[in-house]
Amino acid sequence: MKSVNLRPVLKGRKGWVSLSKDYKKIIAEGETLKELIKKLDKLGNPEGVITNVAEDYSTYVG
Amino acid sequence: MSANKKGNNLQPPIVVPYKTFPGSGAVLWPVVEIRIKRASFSIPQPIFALVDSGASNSILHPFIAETLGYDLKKLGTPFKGTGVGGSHDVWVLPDMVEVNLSGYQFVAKFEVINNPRLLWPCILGQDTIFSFARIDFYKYKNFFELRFRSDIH
Repeated sequence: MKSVNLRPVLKGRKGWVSLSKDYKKIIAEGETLKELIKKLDKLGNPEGVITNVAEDYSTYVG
Repeated sequence: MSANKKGNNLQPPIVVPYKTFPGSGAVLWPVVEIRIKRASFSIPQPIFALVDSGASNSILHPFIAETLGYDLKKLGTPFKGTGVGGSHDVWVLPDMVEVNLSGYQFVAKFEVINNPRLLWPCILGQDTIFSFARIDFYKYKNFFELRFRSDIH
């Protein structure tokens, strides 16, 4: 099985994004989750998946 | 109980490919999609959740908690939580949050770290996903498997 490479679609983004179900494109984005949800509401709440985006995930310690 | 007997009490596997994120090179992250709600509050789409065997408790991003209707300022004085990432103010949410992962549902008591820069919308730790499912990591094959317990589903 191939892993899912989110680097191309998320590179250079920050804040909160909604990705399409196939993870290929950004549906909407916002500086905050509240802003993103407002935008999704205006778009009729399409299917997708929400995440926040860090510039660099290598800093995660857990 | 033998390992075989335990294995018979599990639902069919959910196979999830690892994901790579910007800035972390070829690091493979075990991330699932979950739907999350609390009473009349919900997030309009699933959110990413890191499956973290090193996390004893499960954590929500403060923005997610606020969207679920929690006013963090009214949750009282947070306690100081310490992890390998440092020390943060932490609130324990007063009630249960509903989680749906690929059709399997469970309720969980989450903690919220007062850190808007938390890298993940949600972290599922030992007290939730690892208590409700058997998880087998096949990093060398780029995927992991979750098998929910039959006795609770």
